[in-house]
Amino acid sequence: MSGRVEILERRAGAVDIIAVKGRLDAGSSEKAEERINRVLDAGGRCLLINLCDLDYISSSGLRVLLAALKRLKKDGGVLRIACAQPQILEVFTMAGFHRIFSLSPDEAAALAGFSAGP
Amino acid sequence: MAFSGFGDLFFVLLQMICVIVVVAYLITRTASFTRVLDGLVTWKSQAILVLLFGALSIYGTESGITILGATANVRDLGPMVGGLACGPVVGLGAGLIGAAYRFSLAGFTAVPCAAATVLAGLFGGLIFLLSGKKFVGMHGAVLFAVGMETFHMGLTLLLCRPFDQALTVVGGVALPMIIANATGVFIFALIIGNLITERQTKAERDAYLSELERKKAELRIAHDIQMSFLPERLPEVPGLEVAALSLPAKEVGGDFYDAIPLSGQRTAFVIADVSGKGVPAALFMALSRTVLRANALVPRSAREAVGEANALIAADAKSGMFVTLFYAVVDPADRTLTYVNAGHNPPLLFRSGGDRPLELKGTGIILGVMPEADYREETLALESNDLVLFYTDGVTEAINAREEQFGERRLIETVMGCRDHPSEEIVDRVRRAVADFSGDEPQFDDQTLMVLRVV
Repeated sequence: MSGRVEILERRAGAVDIIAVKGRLDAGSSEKAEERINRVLDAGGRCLLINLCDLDYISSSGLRVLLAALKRLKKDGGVLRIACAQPQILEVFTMAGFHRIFSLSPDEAAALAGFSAGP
Repeated sequence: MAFSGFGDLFFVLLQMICVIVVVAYLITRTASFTRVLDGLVTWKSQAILVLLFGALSIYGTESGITILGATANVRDLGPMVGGLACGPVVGLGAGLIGAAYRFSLAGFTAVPCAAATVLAGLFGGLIFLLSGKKFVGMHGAVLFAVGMETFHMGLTLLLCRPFDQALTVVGGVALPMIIANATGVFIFALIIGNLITERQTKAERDAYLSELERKKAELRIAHDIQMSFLPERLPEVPGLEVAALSLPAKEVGGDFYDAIPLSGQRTAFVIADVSGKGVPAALFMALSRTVLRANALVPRSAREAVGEANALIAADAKSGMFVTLFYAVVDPADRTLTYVNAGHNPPLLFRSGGDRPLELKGTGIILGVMPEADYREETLALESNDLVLFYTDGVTEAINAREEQFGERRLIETVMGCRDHPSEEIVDRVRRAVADFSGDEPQFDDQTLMVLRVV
Protein backbone atom coordinates (compact mmCIF):
# COMPACT_ATOMS: atom_id res chain seq x y z
CA MET A 1 0.00 0.00 0.00
CA SER A 2 2.89 2.33 0.75
CA GLY A 3 4.19 1.72 -2.76
CA ARG A 4 1.59 4.09 -4.09
CA VAL A 5 3.29 7.24 -2.97
CA GLU A 6 6.46 8.55 -4.54
CA ILE A 7 8.57 11.20 -2.88
CA LEU A 8 11.30 13.17 -4.62
CA GLU A 9 13.65 15.64 -2.95
CA ARG A 10 15.47 18.56 -4.57
CA ARG A 11 17.09 21.77 -3.46
CA ALA A 12 16.78 25.24 -4.93
CA GLY A 13 19.12 27.54 -3.03
CA ALA A 14 18.07 27.45 0.61
CA VAL A 15 14.73 25.84 -0.20
CA ASP A 16 14.18 22.11 0.18
CA ILE A 17 11.62 20.94 -2.35
CA ILE A 18 9.74 17.74 -1.63
CA ALA A 19 7.46 16.50 -4.37
CA VAL A 20 4.80 14.04 -3.19
CA LYS A 21 3.22 12.00 -5.98
CA GLY A 22 0.41 9.49 -5.97
CA ARG A 23 -1.75 8.96 -2.91
CA LEU A 24 -1.17 10.20 0.61
CA ASP A 25 -3.38 8.04 2.84
CA ALA A 26 -3.28 5.94 6.01
CA GLY A 27 -0.93 3.45 4.38
CA SER A 28 1.56 5.84 2.82
CA SER A 29 1.65 8.89 5.04
CA GLU A 30 4.16 7.38 7.45
CA LYS A 31 6.71 7.19 4.64
CA ALA A 32 6.06 10.82 3.70
CA GLU A 33 6.37 11.90 7.33
CA GLU A 34 9.73 10.15 7.67
CA ARG A 35 11.10 11.83 4.55
CA ILE A 36 9.92 15.27 5.61
CA ASN A 37 11.31 14.80 9.11
CA ARG A 38 14.65 13.77 7.66
CA VAL A 39 14.85 17.05 5.74
CA LEU A 40 13.86 19.02 8.84
CA ASP A 41 16.30 17.05 11.02
CA ALA A 42 19.06 18.01 8.58
CA GLY A 43 18.30 21.65 9.35
CA GLY A 44 15.94 22.50 6.47
CA ARG A 45 14.02 25.67 7.40
CA CYS A 46 12.45 26.54 4.04
CA LEU A 47 10.29 23.69 2.88
CA LEU A 48 8.31 23.67 -0.35
CA ILE A 49 5.94 20.76 -0.77
CA ASN A 50 5.04 20.23 -4.39
CA LEU A 51 1.70 18.46 -4.84
CA CYS A 52 1.41 18.75 -8.66
CA ASP A 53 1.15 14.98 -9.02
CA LEU A 54 -0.71 14.16 -5.81
CA ASP A 55 -4.00 12.51 -6.72
CA TYR A 56 -5.47 11.90 -3.30
CA ILE A 57 -5.01 12.97 0.31
CA SER A 58 -6.71 11.59 3.41
CA SER A 59 -6.80 12.81 6.99
CA SER A 60 -3.54 10.92 7.64
CA GLY A 61 -1.93 12.93 4.87
CA LEU A 62 -3.28 16.17 6.31
CA ARG A 63 -1.75 15.23 9.64
CA VAL A 64 1.69 14.88 8.02
CA LEU A 65 1.45 18.35 6.46
CA LEU A 66 0.17 19.84 9.68
CA ALA A 67 2.95 18.24 11.76
CA ALA A 68 5.54 19.69 9.35
CA LEU A 69 3.94 23.13 9.55
CA LYS A 70 3.85 23.09 13.36
CA ARG A 71 7.43 21.97 13.58
CA LEU A 72 8.66 24.63 11.15
CA LYS A 73 6.67 27.38 12.85
CA LYS A 74 8.21 26.46 16.18
CA ASP A 75 11.73 26.57 14.71
CA GLY A 76 11.15 29.80 12.80
CA GLY A 77 10.93 28.12 9.40
CA VAL A 78 8.54 28.48 6.47
CA LEU A 79 6.39 25.89 4.73
CA ARG A 80 4.74 26.50 1.39
CA ILE A 81 2.56 24.20 -0.60
CA ALA A 82 2.61 24.48 -4.38
CA CYS A 83 0.40 23.28 -7.16
CA ALA A 84 -2.31 21.39 -5.28
CA GLN A 85 -4.83 19.92 -7.76
CA PRO A 86 -8.54 20.79 -7.53
CA GLN A 87 -9.50 17.59 -5.69
CA ILE A 88 -6.70 18.20 -3.16
CA LEU A 89 -7.71 21.84 -2.76
CA GLU A 90 -11.23 20.64 -2.06
CA VAL A 91 -9.98 18.49 0.82
CA PHE A 92 -7.85 21.40 2.08
CA THR A 93 -10.88 23.64 2.00
CA MET A 94 -12.98 21.02 3.74
CA ALA A 95 -10.40 20.75 6.53
CA GLY A 96 -9.84 24.50 6.63
CA PHE A 97 -6.20 24.11 5.62
CA HIS A 98 -6.41 26.97 3.14
CA ARG A 99 -6.53 29.24 6.18
CA ILE A 100 -3.33 28.00 7.80
CA PHE A 101 -1.11 27.02 4.86
CA SER A 102 0.52 29.25 2.25
CA LEU A 103 -0.76 27.78 -1.01
CA SER A 104 0.80 28.76 -4.33
CA PRO A 105 -0.50 27.87 -7.80
CA ASP A 106 2.90 26.59 -8.98
CA GLU A 107 6.45 25.99 -7.84
CA ALA A 108 7.86 29.21 -9.28
CA ALA A 109 5.32 31.31 -7.39
CA ALA A 110 6.06 29.39 -4.19
CA LEU A 111 9.82 29.92 -4.61
CA ALA A 112 9.24 33.63 -5.19
CA GLY A 113 7.20 33.63 -1.99
CA PHE A 114 10.19 32.37 0.00
CA SER A 115 12.39 35.28 -1.10
CA ALA A 116 9.58 37.72 -0.36
CA GLY A 117 9.36 36.37 3.20
CA PRO A 118 6.58 34.48 4.90
CA MET B 1 45.53 -49.66 25.84
CA ALA B 2 48.34 -50.71 23.54
CA PHE B 3 49.07 -48.67 20.48
CA SER B 4 50.02 -50.56 17.34
CA GLY B 5 49.57 -48.17 14.44
CA PHE B 6 48.36 -44.77 13.26
CA GLY B 7 44.87 -46.04 12.39
CA ASP B 8 44.48 -47.43 15.89
CA LEU B 9 45.62 -44.15 17.45
CA PHE B 10 43.06 -42.24 15.42
CA PHE B 11 40.32 -44.70 16.34
CA VAL B 12 41.14 -44.59 20.03
CA LEU B 13 41.29 -40.80 20.05
CA LEU B 14 37.92 -40.65 18.29
CA GLN B 15 36.46 -42.99 20.88
CA MET B 16 37.85 -40.83 23.65
CA ILE B 17 36.43 -37.68 22.08
CA CYS B 18 33.00 -39.33 21.85
CA VAL B 19 33.10 -40.14 25.54
CA ILE B 20 34.20 -36.59 26.36
CA VAL B 21 31.35 -35.14 24.27
CA VAL B 22 28.79 -37.24 26.13
CA VAL B 23 30.31 -36.53 29.54
CA ALA B 24 30.61 -32.83 28.77
CA TYR B 25 26.98 -32.73 27.71
CA LEU B 26 25.78 -34.56 30.82
CA ILE B 27 27.87 -32.54 33.28
CA THR B 28 26.86 -29.21 31.79
CA ARG B 29 23.18 -30.19 31.99
CA THR B 30 23.26 -30.95 35.72
CA ALA B 31 21.45 -28.54 38.00
CA SER B 32 24.70 -28.07 39.95
CA PHE B 33 26.55 -26.87 36.86
CA THR B 34 23.87 -24.41 35.72
CA ARG B 35 23.62 -23.10 39.27
CA VAL B 36 27.34 -22.36 39.25
CA LEU B 37 26.93 -20.64 35.85
CA ASP B 38 24.31 -18.42 37.48
CA GLY B 39 26.80 -17.59 40.21
CA LEU B 40 24.91 -19.57 42.88
CA VAL B 41 27.70 -21.54 44.55
CA THR B 42 26.66 -23.98 47.29
CA TRP B 43 28.80 -26.59 49.03
CA LYS B 44 26.51 -29.31 47.80
CA SER B 45 26.72 -28.39 44.14
CA GLN B 46 30.46 -27.91 44.42
CA ALA B 47 30.83 -31.37 45.98
CA ILE B 48 28.80 -32.95 43.17
CA LEU B 49 30.91 -31.19 40.54
CA VAL B 50 34.16 -32.23 42.32
CA LEU B 51 33.01 -35.84 42.09
CA LEU B 52 31.94 -35.55 38.45
CA PHE B 53 35.12 -33.84 37.24
CA GLY B 54 37.18 -36.14 39.50
CA ALA B 55 35.57 -39.15 37.85
CA LEU B 56 36.37 -37.67 34.44
CA SER B 57 39.99 -37.36 35.56
CA ILE B 58 40.04 -41.06 36.56
CA TYR B 59 38.51 -41.93 33.19
CA GLY B 60 41.29 -39.86 31.60
CA THR B 61 43.90 -42.01 33.35
CA GLU B 62 42.15 -45.27 32.46
CA SER B 63 41.59 -44.40 28.81
CA GLY B 64 45.23 -43.45 28.29
CA ILE B 65 47.03 -44.69 25.16
CA THR B 66 50.31 -46.40 25.77
CA ILE B 67 53.02 -45.22 23.44
CA LEU B 68 56.48 -46.73 23.75
CA GLY B 69 55.75 -47.72 27.34
CA ALA B 70 54.47 -44.23 28.36
CA THR B 71 50.80 -43.30 28.47
CA ALA B 72 49.26 -40.32 26.72
CA ASN B 73 46.14 -39.41 28.66
CA VAL B 74 43.50 -36.75 29.37
CA ARG B 75 43.69 -36.99 33.15
CA ASP B 76 44.16 -33.21 33.44
CA LEU B 77 41.03 -32.48 31.42
CA GLY B 78 38.48 -32.87 34.25
CA PRO B 79 40.33 -30.68 36.74
CA MET B 80 41.13 -28.04 34.07
CA VAL B 81 37.52 -27.71 32.96
CA GLY B 82 36.24 -27.96 36.54
CA GLY B 83 38.52 -25.09 37.50
CA LEU B 84 37.85 -22.99 34.38
CA ALA B 85 34.08 -23.31 34.55
CA CYS B 86 33.35 -23.71 38.29
CA GLY B 87 36.26 -22.11 40.17
CA PRO B 88 39.26 -23.19 42.27
CA VAL B 89 37.33 -25.37 44.75
CA VAL B 90 35.93 -27.65 42.06
CA GLY B 91 39.18 -27.59 40.06
CA LEU B 92 41.36 -28.41 43.07
CA GLY B 93 38.94 -31.06 44.37
CA ALA B 94 38.75 -32.85 41.03
CA GLY B 95 42.51 -32.50 40.69
CA LEU B 96 43.09 -34.15 44.07
CA ILE B 97 40.82 -37.08 43.16
CA GLY B 98 42.56 -37.56 39.80
CA ALA B 99 45.99 -37.18 41.40
CA ALA B 100 45.22 -39.66 44.21
CA TYR B 101 44.11 -42.25 41.67
CA ARG B 102 47.19 -41.68 39.51
CA PHE B 103 49.46 -41.81 42.55
CA SER B 104 47.94 -45.13 43.63
CA LEU B 105 49.03 -46.63 40.29
CA ALA B 106 52.64 -45.66 41.05
CA GLY B 107 55.13 -45.86 38.18
CA PHE B 108 57.99 -43.79 36.83
CA THR B 109 56.08 -40.51 36.34
CA ALA B 110 53.69 -40.82 39.31
CA VAL B 111 54.89 -37.74 41.19
CA PRO B 112 54.98 -35.18 38.33
CA CYS B 113 51.72 -36.53 36.86
CA ALA B 114 49.89 -36.32 40.18
CA ALA B 115 51.30 -32.86 40.86
CA ALA B 116 50.35 -31.63 37.36
CA THR B 117 46.75 -32.83 37.81
CA VAL B 118 46.36 -30.94 41.10
CA LEU B 119 47.94 -27.83 39.58
CA ALA B 120 45.73 -28.11 36.45
CA GLY B 121 42.63 -27.77 38.66
CA LEU B 122 44.15 -25.00 40.74
CA PHE B 123 45.35 -22.93 37.75
CA GLY B 124 42.01 -23.42 35.98
CA GLY B 125 40.30 -22.11 39.11
CA LEU B 126 42.62 -19.10 39.28
CA ILE B 127 41.83 -18.25 35.63
CA PHE B 128 38.13 -18.46 36.56
CA LEU B 129 38.73 -15.94 39.36
CA LEU B 130 40.83 -13.67 37.12
CA SER B 131 38.07 -13.64 34.47
CA GLY B 132 35.70 -12.19 37.04
CA LYS B 133 34.28 -15.53 38.26
CA LYS B 134 33.30 -16.43 34.72
CA PHE B 135 34.26 -19.04 32.17
CA VAL B 136 37.19 -17.54 30.26
CA GLY B 137 35.85 -18.53 26.82
CA MET B 138 36.95 -20.89 24.10
CA HIS B 139 40.28 -19.34 23.08
CA GLY B 140 41.51 -18.79 26.59
CA ALA B 141 40.52 -22.30 27.63
CA VAL B 142 42.30 -24.04 24.72
CA LEU B 143 45.42 -21.89 25.17
CA PHE B 144 45.41 -22.78 28.86
CA ALA B 145 45.16 -26.51 28.00
CA VAL B 146 48.15 -26.29 25.64
CA GLY B 147 50.17 -24.34 28.22
CA MET B 148 49.16 -26.63 31.06
CA GLU B 149 50.18 -29.80 29.22
CA THR B 150 53.47 -28.22 28.14
CA PHE B 151 54.05 -27.38 31.82
CA HIS B 152 53.13 -30.98 32.73
CA MET B 153 55.83 -32.23 30.34
CA GLY B 154 58.35 -29.79 31.79
CA LEU B 155 57.52 -30.99 35.29
CA THR B 156 58.18 -34.61 34.21
CA LEU B 157 61.57 -33.63 32.79
CA LEU B 158 62.39 -31.71 35.99
CA LEU B 159 61.35 -34.34 38.54
CA CYS B 160 61.97 -37.73 36.89
CA ARG B 161 65.36 -39.36 37.04
CA PRO B 162 67.14 -40.69 35.11
CA PHE B 163 66.68 -37.70 32.78
CA ASP B 164 67.27 -39.74 29.61
CA GLN B 165 64.32 -41.97 30.37
CA ALA B 166 62.14 -38.93 31.17
CA LEU B 167 63.17 -37.35 27.86
CA THR B 168 62.20 -40.49 25.94
CA VAL B 169 58.77 -40.59 27.62
CA VAL B 170 58.10 -36.90 27.09
CA GLY B 171 59.30 -37.09 23.49
CA GLY B 172 56.79 -39.87 22.84
CA VAL B 173 53.69 -38.48 24.58
CA ALA B 174 54.09 -34.69 24.56
CA LEU B 175 52.37 -33.98 21.25
CA PRO B 176 49.50 -36.51 21.59
CA MET B 177 48.81 -35.28 25.14
CA ILE B 178 48.79 -31.62 24.23
CA ILE B 179 46.49 -32.32 21.26
CA ALA B 180 44.19 -34.66 23.21
CA ASN B 181 43.75 -32.31 26.18
CA ALA B 182 43.37 -29.24 23.99
CA THR B 183 40.71 -31.08 21.98
CA GLY B 184 38.91 -32.14 25.16
CA VAL B 185 38.92 -28.59 26.52
CA PHE B 186 37.77 -27.33 23.11
CA ILE B 187 34.76 -29.68 23.22
CA PHE B 188 33.86 -28.56 26.74
CA ALA B 189 34.34 -24.91 25.85
CA LEU B 190 32.09 -25.31 22.83
CA ILE B 191 29.32 -26.93 24.84
CA ILE B 192 29.64 -24.50 27.75
CA GLY B 193 29.68 -21.56 25.32
CA ASN B 194 26.53 -22.86 23.64
CA LEU B 195 24.89 -23.39 26.99
CA ILE B 196 25.66 -19.83 28.12
CA THR B 197 24.31 -18.35 24.85
CA GLU B 198 21.24 -20.56 25.01
CA ARG B 199 20.50 -19.51 28.57
CA GLN B 200 21.00 -15.83 27.72
CA THR B 201 18.68 -16.13 24.73
CA LYS B 202 16.10 -17.87 26.88
CA ALA B 203 16.37 -15.24 29.60
CA GLU B 204 15.97 -12.47 27.02
CA ARG B 205 13.07 -14.25 25.39
CA ASP B 206 11.35 -14.77 28.74
CA ALA B 207 11.80 -11.11 29.61
CA TYR B 208 10.51 -10.09 26.19
CA LEU B 209 7.50 -12.40 26.44
CA SER B 210 6.51 -11.19 29.89
CA GLU B 211 6.91 -7.59 28.69
CA LEU B 212 4.73 -8.41 25.69
CA GLU B 213 2.17 -10.07 27.96
CA ARG B 214 2.09 -6.99 30.16
CA LYS B 215 1.72 -4.66 27.17
CA LYS B 216 -1.07 -6.79 25.78
CA ALA B 217 -2.87 -6.67 29.12
CA GLU B 218 -2.43 -2.90 29.22
CA LEU B 219 -3.80 -2.57 25.70
CA ARG B 220 -6.77 -4.76 26.60
CA ILE B 221 -7.51 -2.48 29.54
CA ALA B 222 -7.05 0.59 27.31
CA HIS B 223 -9.42 -0.99 24.80
CA ASP B 224 -12.04 -1.62 27.48
CA ILE B 225 -11.72 1.91 28.83
CA GLN B 226 -11.99 3.34 25.35
CA MET B 227 -15.01 1.23 24.48
CA SER B 228 -16.64 2.54 27.64
CA PHE B 229 -16.34 6.04 26.11
CA LEU B 230 -18.66 5.04 23.30
CA PRO B 231 -22.33 5.16 24.26
CA GLU B 232 -23.34 1.74 25.60
CA ARG B 233 -26.78 2.25 24.15
CA LEU B 234 -27.71 5.05 21.85
CA PRO B 235 -30.43 7.18 23.42
CA GLU B 236 -34.02 6.81 22.30
CA VAL B 237 -34.70 9.89 20.25
CA PRO B 238 -38.34 10.56 19.34
CA GLY B 239 -38.83 10.52 15.57
CA LEU B 240 -35.38 9.05 14.87
CA GLU B 241 -33.99 5.57 14.44
CA VAL B 242 -30.27 5.51 15.23
CA ALA B 243 -27.55 2.87 14.87
CA ALA B 244 -23.75 3.09 15.09
CA LEU B 245 -20.64 0.96 15.01
CA SER B 246 -16.93 1.55 15.57
CA LEU B 247 -14.17 -0.90 14.59
CA PRO B 248 -10.70 0.18 15.72
CA ALA B 249 -7.84 -0.99 13.46
CA LYS B 250 -5.69 -1.75 16.51
CA GLU B 251 -6.67 -2.50 20.10
CA VAL B 252 -7.35 1.18 20.57
CA GLY B 253 -8.24 3.77 17.99
CA GLY B 254 -8.87 7.41 17.32
CA ASP B 255 -12.44 7.33 16.03
CA PHE B 256 -15.48 7.95 18.16
CA TYR B 257 -19.14 8.63 17.92
CA ASP B 258 -21.45 10.00 20.54
CA ALA B 259 -25.08 10.92 21.12
CA ILE B 260 -25.54 13.60 23.75
CA PRO B 261 -29.05 14.34 25.08
CA LEU B 262 -29.58 18.10 25.22
CA SER B 263 -32.32 20.25 26.68
CA GLY B 264 -35.75 20.38 24.99
CA GLN B 265 -35.68 16.80 23.63
CA ARG B 266 -32.83 17.75 21.34
CA THR B 267 -29.89 15.40 20.78
CA ALA B 268 -26.37 16.14 19.55
CA PHE B 269 -24.90 13.44 17.30
CA VAL B 270 -21.15 13.36 16.90
CA ILE B 271 -18.69 11.48 14.75
CA ALA B 272 -15.00 12.24 14.94
CA ASP B 273 -11.65 11.00 13.73
CA VAL B 274 -8.49 11.80 15.64
CA SER B 275 -5.35 11.96 13.50
CA GLY B 276 -2.98 9.04 13.90
CA LYS B 277 -3.56 5.59 15.33
CA GLY B 278 -2.98 3.56 18.46
CA VAL B 279 -2.48 4.83 21.99
CA PRO B 280 -1.60 8.49 21.19
CA ALA B 281 -4.76 8.80 19.08
CA ALA B 282 -6.82 7.04 21.77
CA LEU B 283 -5.66 9.43 24.50
CA PHE B 284 -6.37 12.42 22.29
CA MET B 285 -9.76 10.94 21.48
CA ALA B 286 -10.57 10.68 25.20
CA LEU B 287 -9.59 14.31 25.72
CA SER B 288 -11.56 15.53 22.70
CA ARG B 289 -14.67 13.59 23.56
CA THR B 290 -14.76 14.85 27.13
CA VAL B 291 -14.15 18.46 26.09
CA LEU B 292 -16.86 18.24 23.46
CA ARG B 293 -19.40 16.66 25.83
CA ALA B 294 -18.78 19.28 28.48
CA ASN B 295 -19.28 22.06 25.94
CA ALA B 296 -22.35 20.49 24.36
CA LEU B 297 -24.14 20.43 27.72
CA VAL B 298 -23.84 24.19 28.22
CA PRO B 299 -26.91 25.75 26.58
CA ARG B 300 -25.52 27.40 23.45
CA SER B 301 -25.56 27.06 19.68
CA ALA B 302 -23.84 24.23 17.84
CA ARG B 303 -21.19 26.53 16.40
CA GLU B 304 -20.40 27.98 19.83
CA ALA B 305 -20.11 24.50 21.34
CA VAL B 306 -17.68 23.35 18.63
CA GLY B 307 -15.77 26.65 18.65
CA GLU B 308 -15.25 26.50 22.41
CA ALA B 309 -14.24 22.81 22.27
CA ASN B 310 -11.74 23.69 19.53
CA ALA B 311 -10.10 26.39 21.60
CA LEU B 312 -9.64 23.97 24.50
CA ILE B 313 -8.41 21.09 22.32
CA ALA B 314 -6.00 23.34 20.39
CA ALA B 315 -4.45 24.39 23.69
CA ASP B 316 -3.61 20.74 24.39
CA ALA B 317 -2.79 19.51 20.86
CA LYS B 318 0.83 18.54 20.32
CA SER B 319 2.80 17.66 17.18
CA GLY B 320 0.18 17.75 14.49
CA MET B 321 -2.62 16.11 16.46
CA PHE B 322 -6.04 17.15 15.25
CA VAL B 323 -9.62 15.97 15.17
CA THR B 324 -12.04 16.04 12.29
CA LEU B 325 -15.52 16.30 13.73
CA PHE B 326 -19.09 16.40 12.58
CA TYR B 327 -21.51 17.74 15.16
CA ALA B 328 -25.23 17.70 14.44
CA VAL B 329 -28.08 18.75 16.72
CA VAL B 330 -31.44 17.20 15.87
CA ASP B 331 -34.51 18.99 17.13
CA PRO B 332 -37.54 16.72 16.84
CA ALA B 333 -39.94 19.55 17.68
CA ASP B 334 -39.30 21.54 14.50
CA ARG B 335 -37.70 18.59 12.59
CA THR B 336 -34.39 20.26 11.89
CA LEU B 337 -30.79 19.19 11.86
CA THR B 338 -28.23 21.89 12.62
CA TYR B 339 -24.65 20.89 11.92
CA VAL B 340 -21.08 22.05 12.17
CA ASN B 341 -18.57 20.18 10.06
CA ALA B 342 -15.03 20.74 11.33
CA GLY B 343 -13.08 19.22 8.45
CA HIS B 344 -14.76 15.82 8.66
CA ASN B 345 -15.42 13.90 5.46
CA PRO B 346 -18.95 15.00 4.55
CA PRO B 347 -21.78 12.85 5.92
CA LEU B 348 -24.31 11.84 3.29
CA LEU B 349 -27.95 12.87 3.43
CA PHE B 350 -30.18 10.52 1.44
CA ARG B 351 -33.43 12.36 0.80
CA SER B 352 -36.54 10.30 0.45
CA GLY B 353 -36.94 9.54 -3.27
CA GLY B 354 -33.65 11.21 -4.24
CA ASP B 355 -31.13 9.27 -6.32
CA ARG B 356 -27.95 11.03 -5.19
CA PRO B 357 -27.16 11.82 -1.58
CA LEU B 358 -26.33 15.34 -0.50
CA GLU B 359 -22.92 15.97 1.07
CA LEU B 360 -22.91 17.88 4.37
CA LYS B 361 -19.69 19.75 3.65
CA GLY B 362 -17.20 21.54 5.86
CA THR B 363 -18.20 24.64 7.79
CA GLY B 364 -14.88 25.21 9.54
CA ILE B 365 -11.35 24.08 10.18
CA ILE B 366 -10.43 20.78 11.84
CA LEU B 367 -10.25 20.96 15.63
CA GLY B 368 -6.96 21.48 17.38
CA VAL B 369 -4.95 23.59 14.94
CA MET B 370 -6.29 27.16 15.26
CA PRO B 371 -7.39 28.12 18.78
CA GLU B 372 -9.27 31.22 17.59
CA ALA B 373 -11.04 29.56 14.63
CA ASP B 374 -14.66 30.44 13.83
CA TYR B 375 -17.25 27.88 12.81
CA ARG B 376 -20.38 28.28 10.73
CA GLU B 377 -23.44 26.17 11.24
CA GLU B 378 -26.02 25.01 8.70
CA THR B 379 -29.62 24.04 9.36
CA LEU B 380 -31.56 21.53 7.28
CA ALA B 381 -35.23 20.65 7.40
CA LEU B 382 -35.71 16.92 7.93
CA GLU B 383 -38.41 14.96 6.21
CA SER B 384 -39.85 11.52 6.84
CA ASN B 385 -37.63 8.72 5.66
CA ASP B 386 -34.57 10.95 5.25
CA LEU B 387 -31.41 9.07 6.06
CA VAL B 388 -28.13 10.54 7.25
CA LEU B 389 -24.96 8.45 7.11
CA PHE B 390 -22.00 9.60 9.20
CA TYR B 391 -18.72 7.77 8.59
CA THR B 392 -14.96 8.10 8.99
CA ASP B 393 -12.49 7.79 6.13
CA GLY B 394 -11.36 4.37 7.40
CA VAL B 395 -14.56 3.06 5.75
CA THR B 396 -13.98 4.52 2.29
CA GLU B 397 -10.22 3.97 2.46
CA ALA B 398 -10.47 0.23 3.23
CA ILE B 399 -8.45 -1.53 0.54
CA ASN B 400 -8.67 -4.90 -1.15
CA ALA B 401 -5.87 -7.18 -2.34
CA ARG B 402 -5.54 -5.14 -5.56
CA GLU B 403 -5.04 -2.02 -3.43
CA GLU B 404 -8.29 -0.48 -4.66
CA GLN B 405 -10.22 1.56 -2.15
CA PHE B 406 -13.76 0.80 -1.10
CA GLY B 407 -14.55 4.39 -2.00
CA GLU B 408 -17.55 6.63 -1.71
CA ARG B 409 -19.24 5.17 -4.79
CA ARG B 410 -19.44 1.66 -3.29
CA LEU B 411 -20.55 3.13 0.03
CA ILE B 412 -23.42 5.00 -1.63
CA GLU B 413 -24.41 1.94 -3.70
CA THR B 414 -24.47 -0.23 -0.58
CA VAL B 415 -26.69 2.21 1.32
CA MET B 416 -29.00 2.74 -1.68
CA GLY B 417 -29.36 -1.05 -1.89
CA CYS B 418 -30.86 -1.27 1.59
CA ARG B 419 -32.13 2.24 2.02
CA ASP B 420 -35.51 1.24 3.41
CA HIS B 421 -34.17 -1.26 5.94
CA PRO B 422 -33.85 -0.45 9.66
CA SER B 423 -30.81 1.70 10.58
CA GLU B 424 -29.16 -1.16 12.40
CA GLU B 425 -29.33 -3.33 9.31
CA ILE B 426 -27.90 -0.58 7.09
CA VAL B 427 -24.91 -0.27 9.44
CA ASP B 428 -24.47 -4.02 9.34
CA ARG B 429 -24.75 -4.17 5.53
CA VAL B 430 -22.08 -1.50 5.12
CA ARG B 431 -19.83 -3.27 7.61
CA ARG B 432 -20.22 -6.53 5.72
CA ALA B 433 -19.73 -4.89 2.32
CA VAL B 434 -16.45 -3.34 3.53
CA ALA B 435 -15.31 -6.63 5.10
CA ASP B 436 -16.14 -8.61 1.93
CA PHE B 437 -14.39 -6.01 -0.19
CA SER B 438 -11.20 -6.03 1.92
CA GLY B 439 -11.05 -9.83 2.11
CA ASP B 440 -7.86 -10.78 3.94
CA GLU B 441 -6.25 -7.34 3.72
CA PRO B 442 -5.44 -5.96 7.18
CA GLN B 443 -7.54 -3.05 8.39
CA PHE B 444 -5.38 0.08 8.19
CA ASP B 445 -7.55 2.63 9.88
CA ASP B 446 -10.43 2.75 12.34
CA GLN B 447 -13.84 2.38 10.73
CA THR B 448 -16.83 4.14 12.30
CA LEU B 449 -20.38 4.47 11.04
CA MET B 450 -23.58 6.04 12.29
CA VAL B 451 -26.98 6.04 10.60
CA LEU B 452 -29.90 8.32 11.51
CA ARG B 453 -33.22 7.71 9.92
CA VAL B 454 -36.16 10.08 10.24
CA VAL B 455 -39.21 8.00 11.03
